[in-house]
Amino acid sequence: MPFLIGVCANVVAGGESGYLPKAADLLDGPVAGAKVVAKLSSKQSAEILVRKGSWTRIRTGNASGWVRTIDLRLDAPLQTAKPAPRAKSSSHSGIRGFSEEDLFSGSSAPVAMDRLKHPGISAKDAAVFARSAGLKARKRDYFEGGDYITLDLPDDFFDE
Amino acid sequence: MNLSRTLIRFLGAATMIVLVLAGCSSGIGIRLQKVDVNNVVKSVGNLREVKEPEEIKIGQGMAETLLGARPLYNDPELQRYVNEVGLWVAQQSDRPNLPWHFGVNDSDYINAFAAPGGFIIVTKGMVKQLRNEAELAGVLGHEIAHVNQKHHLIALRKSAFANLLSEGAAASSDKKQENMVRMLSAPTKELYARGLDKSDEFEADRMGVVFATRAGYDPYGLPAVLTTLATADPKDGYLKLLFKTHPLPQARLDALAPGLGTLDGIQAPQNADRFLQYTRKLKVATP
Repeated sequence: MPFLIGVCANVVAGGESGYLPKAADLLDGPVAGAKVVAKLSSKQSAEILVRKGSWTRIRTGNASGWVRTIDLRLDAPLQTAKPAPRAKSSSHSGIRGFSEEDLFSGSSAPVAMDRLKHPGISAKDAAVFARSAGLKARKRDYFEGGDYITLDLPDDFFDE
Repeated sequence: MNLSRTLIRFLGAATMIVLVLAGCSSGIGIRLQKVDVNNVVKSVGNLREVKEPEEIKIGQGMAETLLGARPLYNDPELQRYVNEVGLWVAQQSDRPNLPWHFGVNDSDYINAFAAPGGFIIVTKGMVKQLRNEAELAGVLGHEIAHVNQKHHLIALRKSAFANLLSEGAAASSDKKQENMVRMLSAPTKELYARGLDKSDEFEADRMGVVFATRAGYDPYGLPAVLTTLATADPKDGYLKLLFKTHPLPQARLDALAPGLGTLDGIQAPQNADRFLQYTRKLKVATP
């Protein structure tokens, strides 16, 4: 069944890969307590197949299964524009920032507001555009939240 | 700017209280929490004093402040596309008839912002990190949820500027209201720099997933974005403001997990091709 569940999750295009920094269990489903398919050693490389919330389905060697996303590192982590600014300042030349400093130094921009309003798309236009890509509205109720662990960063975390 | 100082003091005190309650005044604190049960329709009713036209005016002033920090990215086709996607997702909210406006600003930083009344701004840096339209719908859905729940308006009301907001909303003339919008510039900046309550962010994640799902997208768009963000170095300067004002991505994913379980079985498009078509220029033009 886990493979059927995987069909509706995010199929990863472009063959992303990663590795497990620590030993971990490869499970047959995206839930804690699922059957262990294999014991993975640390530094094990993995091909990323599907993302599903906190779980990611991977292929490693001949086996495929699920690991917690938090246990996985991407070979190519999120790349930001280079050169990266120091966390404390966005005044690096050529970087188009949006830091606290930029926020406080900026002045109001009513002219830019005219441009924001410019596209003039109607709800009907948007519905036609959605349908043209095969999107169909469906009913769905709000849902409850779950347990989570927060890591509160110390105040000086971003200080260099 | 006495008002500004008052707000800073207020926010400073509030932050201290939160830190003390969390027991994390030194080092990294770890807490296990339970998300409030289904508080998605909370407390909107007590904002009767600020009527919708005033809310829109306040939001426009706040959006002008955001655009003052960074202008829109010059790509009319992309701006139109983001509006088409955003407006469709907003139609799935409880407030479809607001004058929704969406824009991509010319910033390499990774973030997105909402202002009351339906003004949504996503950074170019954020769009660049996305893989498909379902992910874009998830990000926009999160921001639409902030507007749906009046999170920023409520945050301003909780602040030392509550009186200013009430006075402005009750002001009879346009000029008085314009004055009030101008006066809100400083607290607006404070609010975007400090962020909303973490519970508002978790709520916006849950509602954002639901809005994108109702719009017909793969429900895992927003979770996929959070998974990407989870791979980032939290000290990356491009993410500083995002990580300072939001719970860390892994906590957000954990909080979403049970709700996402209820969406299993939905097979829906991600529209990667259309997304790549409209974002090609941005992806090529930026470093």
